[in-house]
Amino acid sequence: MSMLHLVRTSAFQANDFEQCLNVVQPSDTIVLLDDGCYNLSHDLWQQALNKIALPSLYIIEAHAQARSVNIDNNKVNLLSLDSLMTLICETDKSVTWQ
Amino acid sequence: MYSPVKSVAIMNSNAPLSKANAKDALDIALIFGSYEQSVSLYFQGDGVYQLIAHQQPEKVQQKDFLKTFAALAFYDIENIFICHDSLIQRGLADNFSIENVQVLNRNEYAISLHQHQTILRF
Repeated sequence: MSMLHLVRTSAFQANDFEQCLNVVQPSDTIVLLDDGCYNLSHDLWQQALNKIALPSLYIIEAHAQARSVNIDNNKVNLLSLDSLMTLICETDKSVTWQ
Repeated sequence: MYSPVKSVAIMNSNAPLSKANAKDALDIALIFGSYEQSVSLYFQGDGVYQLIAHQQPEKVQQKDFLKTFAALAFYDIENIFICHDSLIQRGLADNFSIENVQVLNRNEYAISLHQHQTILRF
């Protein structure tokens, strides 16, 4: 059963993202939103890339732009809030890390 | 005993958009400034994200209060310090939305902070 992980805090400040990575499975999906966008430049993001294939790793475009977070297409995919809604509806279950 | 003029340090350790801490800290800095009190701003941890250039808060339906940082000079708030280690940790370049900020290493940052009588952390 795949799970959707919604990461809303910065790993530089809190350990929510670290806890998330401790439970993710290869079939899961991770979405970075709000201050979670900052995790893209955290060392832990490499762990996310090792555990989950790139097509299942997302960042909310507007949230990243708001924070001037640089997007590297080799590290993450862009997602709109509308598509996030679709993704949530398609996924069996979701966890919010905040 | 010699007593120096009291000075206030405002320590910013939170990112700007998800919580009100950054906005509150800036408001308080400007109030101290308008009463001509000696105030210095410190940015460490996720607080360093507050000064990064090219942020667009309107993308998440927020008023761009970060623009107000440019007004600090008019309030004679010129002591703005950033922790270099926090920037490095986050992979951030010295590309700030305002000029006249000083990037200090951890030791210099600590020494500078200790010169203040009052420290408010946000």
